[in-house]
Amino acid sequence: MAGTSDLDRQIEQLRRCEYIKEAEVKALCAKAREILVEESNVQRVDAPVTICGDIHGQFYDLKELFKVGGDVPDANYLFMGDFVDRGFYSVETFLLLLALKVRYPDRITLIRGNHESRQITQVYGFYDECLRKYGSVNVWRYCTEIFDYLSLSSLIEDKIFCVHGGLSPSINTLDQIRVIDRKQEVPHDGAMCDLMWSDPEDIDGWGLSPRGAGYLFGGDVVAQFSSTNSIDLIARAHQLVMEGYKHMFNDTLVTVWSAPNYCYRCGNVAAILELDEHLNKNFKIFEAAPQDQRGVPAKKPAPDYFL
Amino acid sequence: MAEAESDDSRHRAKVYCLNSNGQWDDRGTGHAAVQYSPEDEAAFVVVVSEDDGSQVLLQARVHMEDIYQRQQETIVSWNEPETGVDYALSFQDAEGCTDLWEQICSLQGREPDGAGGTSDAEGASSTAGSAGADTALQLPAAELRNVAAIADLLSEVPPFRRARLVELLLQSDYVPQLVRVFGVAEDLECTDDLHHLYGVFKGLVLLNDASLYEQLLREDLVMSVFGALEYDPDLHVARAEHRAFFRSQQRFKQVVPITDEDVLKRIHQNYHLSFLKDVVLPRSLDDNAFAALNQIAFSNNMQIVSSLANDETFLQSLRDKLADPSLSSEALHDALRLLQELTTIAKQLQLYNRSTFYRKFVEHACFAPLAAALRRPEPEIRLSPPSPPTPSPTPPRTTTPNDHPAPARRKVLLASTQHEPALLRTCILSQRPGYELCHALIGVLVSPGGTGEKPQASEVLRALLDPDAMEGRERDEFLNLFYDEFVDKIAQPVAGKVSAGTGPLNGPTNGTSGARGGEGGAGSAEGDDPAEEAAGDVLSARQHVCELLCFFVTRHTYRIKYFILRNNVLCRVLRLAKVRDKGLVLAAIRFFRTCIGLKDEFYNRYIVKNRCFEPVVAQLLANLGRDNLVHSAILELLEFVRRENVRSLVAHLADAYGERFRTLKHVEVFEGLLRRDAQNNDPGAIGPAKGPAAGGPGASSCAVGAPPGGRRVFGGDEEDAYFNESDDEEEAEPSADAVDDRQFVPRPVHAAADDRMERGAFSHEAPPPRLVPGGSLAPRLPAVLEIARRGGASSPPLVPPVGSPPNRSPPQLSSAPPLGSPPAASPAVGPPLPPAVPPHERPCAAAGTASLVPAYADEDGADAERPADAEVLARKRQRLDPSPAEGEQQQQQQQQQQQQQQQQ
Repeated sequence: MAGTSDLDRQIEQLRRCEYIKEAEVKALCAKAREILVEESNVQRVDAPVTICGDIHGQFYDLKELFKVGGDVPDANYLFMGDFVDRGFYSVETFLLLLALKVRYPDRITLIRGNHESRQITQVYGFYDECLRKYGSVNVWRYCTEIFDYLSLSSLIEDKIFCVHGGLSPSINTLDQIRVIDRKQEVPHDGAMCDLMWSDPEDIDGWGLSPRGAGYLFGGDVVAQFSSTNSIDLIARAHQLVMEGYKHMFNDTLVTVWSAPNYCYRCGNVAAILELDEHLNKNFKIFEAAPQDQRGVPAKKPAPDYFL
Repeated sequence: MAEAESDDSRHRAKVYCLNSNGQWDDRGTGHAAVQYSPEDEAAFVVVVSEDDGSQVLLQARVHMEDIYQRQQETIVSWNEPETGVDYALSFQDAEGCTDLWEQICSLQGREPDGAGGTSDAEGASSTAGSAGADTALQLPAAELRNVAAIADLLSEVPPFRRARLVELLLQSDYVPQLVRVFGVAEDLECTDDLHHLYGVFKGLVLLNDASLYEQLLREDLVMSVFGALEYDPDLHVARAEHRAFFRSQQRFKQVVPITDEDVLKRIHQNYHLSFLKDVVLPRSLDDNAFAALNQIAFSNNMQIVSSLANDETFLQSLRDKLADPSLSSEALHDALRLLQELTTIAKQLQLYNRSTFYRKFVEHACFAPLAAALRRPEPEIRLSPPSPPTPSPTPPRTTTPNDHPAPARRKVLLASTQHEPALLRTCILSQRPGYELCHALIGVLVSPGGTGEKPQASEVLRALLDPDAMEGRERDEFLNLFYDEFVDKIAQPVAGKVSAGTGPLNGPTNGTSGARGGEGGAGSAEGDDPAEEAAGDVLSARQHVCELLCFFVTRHTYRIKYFILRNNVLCRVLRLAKVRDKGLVLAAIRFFRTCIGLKDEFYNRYIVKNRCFEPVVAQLLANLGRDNLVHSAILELLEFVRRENVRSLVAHLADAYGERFRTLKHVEVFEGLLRRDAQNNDPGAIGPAKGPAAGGPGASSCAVGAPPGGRRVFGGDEEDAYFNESDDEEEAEPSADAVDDRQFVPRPVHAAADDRMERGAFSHEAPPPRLVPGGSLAPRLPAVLEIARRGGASSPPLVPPVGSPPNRSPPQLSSAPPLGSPPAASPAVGPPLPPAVPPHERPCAAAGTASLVPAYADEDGADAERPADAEVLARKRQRLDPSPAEGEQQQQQQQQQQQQQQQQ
């Protein structure tokens, strides 16, 4: 059933926001796993590349993103996690990104966000969506299994470190990230958890995170980490920014947020960060897809009911 | 609050505040009003100074609790829950007081004159007073010409008007009249009116009132309500076709006739309700409305389940249906789905109701037919139903969800095990000697293919076998049964043909001979492998079995150990480390890592003797240049051995692979391992670095671990002694090595962290500029865990995957340099954290930011209300909140922690 023609058909189908069959998901995940298992915890990426933040199942806004940033494979992308939950189309969103990953492995990089987790997705929508759209949670199981294989971070041209959440007090060097067995559910503490849960904050050193996982880290921490690992910039997502992106700590850290009108009601704009081959930065702002371009939310309950 | 000038005197009031001496302090005189702040999504009692219009004398949130008291005619007083301070407003004028009082009452949704705290009845005055506020509110007659006005009225309702508005709407058949108006408008096909009516009905739903929902969901009205909600003016292209769905697709199936009219009504209402929630207005409903609808569904469900559980004939006929061998697949399917829905609903019930339900469930022996059902060989039941034909224009949306009966069955089991695993255990025990149910369950797990059902089977088994959830006698009985009868069947996919049994080994022969096979690699042992699964299956039997074995290793101490040692299971599993499928390689390595993670010398000796590292090191070398997941997993494993200084393994690794490791410089793990070995062998050389403890316990540990300087860890004698040592059950205590190491660390990292807290490094006093207006949107881990634990969303695995290595390097909040290794090399050599610090929680920090995104207090708010959480939160806050007021506590806390650590 392999072959790029099948895959291309599935990509086309997913681009129309139609989800693919369960058997196809299974096969897709098997292929994706082969690719992802070979990736590093600090996956190297070449410029030029476009950095994107949280998507959260906002499929039609992801299409806007591709309109603004160019289609795969014409442009290279790095998505910093949180593909699922919240929006109405987590299934289509994640499967499209995954299919693109399988079809163009060198063109698109996916790293893991805190929502790429079994526990979180059970509460914030992805689990229910799979159950509703496929009638069983098999697709959820395949996808969450793949989540475990997603890389934890990326390093662009040895200069820009990309991670979903932020830094960890247990991690001083990038090598220490390489010594994480990432094939597991996101733990509740420790380095792997922090990478996906931490937030920058205007404080000195480390602080407790109000999120209950990860830490708050200050500018001095970023400076220390950057100098230790000779990087110029940390790019991360994880926090809603009304303006789409936000610099902190004298431009040594940037938050990129790519879900416009988050949850369909926050009223924010979204951004992507384009890097050219010399790592020059260009932020592109975009808004939510107009109402008439997004279909009716395809939530239908199972037609049969017993109780 | 655009009041006219003349009102000013009416609302003139003095603000009093009770001081610590029990006297009322005068805080000034000003004009009092209730103001709604859209940012905070809350109303406030605000008193603006009459001397200086810019000075606010008081701004206090209006609370929903019954804390306000009206005294005499002119005083309103309350105790502010957040600060504990008593306030009183003394009005110049009774009417002004009445105004404020009524506004507070209306915000709280209570009758001003009713249960409230009016101490002297002033009915006349209060109705007079309300003339200003709410009697002005009138509903236009429910007629077509008024729909625009009604929609307008409903489009934005200030909170303190809601109660009054709802009251009006519920009077005199207003909603049914609106429904009739909709009928007329639709007949006339006038789009504008229909759009307005959409606004009207959406407004009604968003009013979020239980009685109103009752009306809207009335069976004679609900279809028209859905009809009106089809005309969303924002959907230019297509009209939603809610009613068409009900006409053409929706089917209520009665597998077993339900006679109770009330139950039927509730069943239908729930379906409509979820349709409204999920399909019709998912975007518009705010969290309060969601919660209100869920509440209705919940109370319906409770009625349904308790009524059905008490209906003797219902459960009986359901059981008979399930047990009927002549039942067609389709009918069986339906019966199972009914049962599944029943258990799903039961899962949401409170403990008492749930137990009642399951007791009935067992009384009627509803589990029994499931075993037979699990074994029904029909492939069409096992596998997915034929996939839909070639995609139509919009194929997936209309395809019937492929709910197969097999998963349905398992879900029944799953739902029951999650809440009453004991029942299922009892049932299994009672099936002596055939144990059909358990065999069927394991059969599902180990059979090739059919990957979707395996995780469920695996979860059921996990729930069944969790020793923490069993009582003493039951635990022994059930685990003995499991290790006598079933464990070999489970292990078979990865270990081949092995034997069960709980006792210790009789002799070492078994292990040794098996070890040769394992070490030799593919050799003869490969012969008992089950049929190869299709390579690359994402969720294969072997992977699940590995994960289950990890679970057993961490939870069942001696039984699984004997099983593994007797059957050479670890070596056999590690053969998987040689296969092409890297998913399996990782699963095998993880199993290995779990065994090592116990730091149990039994395992360690076995590992050394059988050279279990061989295939792992081979994988390491094969993946060296690739920096991939396999590479990372192996590094993590080696790093664990180094960090925890598992002496026997450190020595073994240095001995067997030292030459190899010496050449590996790309990460510091290898160098660190070899250095660790050197340190272990020559304690004197690093004496100073180890600190005062080096001489004492360190020396004694040598007797248990590797003898100093002795590379050849196990001689011939020891080998013989290997299986005979310590038949005690409780071998699982931490090895002496680990204990020693903890003591080597001069100063707990945690104490350092606390220092910083005291110095204010964690200060949140001045809320720093926030990046995130949507702070409250961010999921909170503890909240999520709590929801997941309750099975809030549904029924998948609630435990994190077993055997995840405790990835728990303590944060180095201060610069305590790790010992015995160069600073950069180790994330932390410090002690393991004190037993699982619960994820901390600081709800207050996000509070300031929540305001920017109203209508979305979201999960945080919802969860904080739960009493169970509140307690936990309080504890956590006490523990972790570094606010200055709790400095003292903090210190105590710190002392306690230090004491704890010393004890360790």
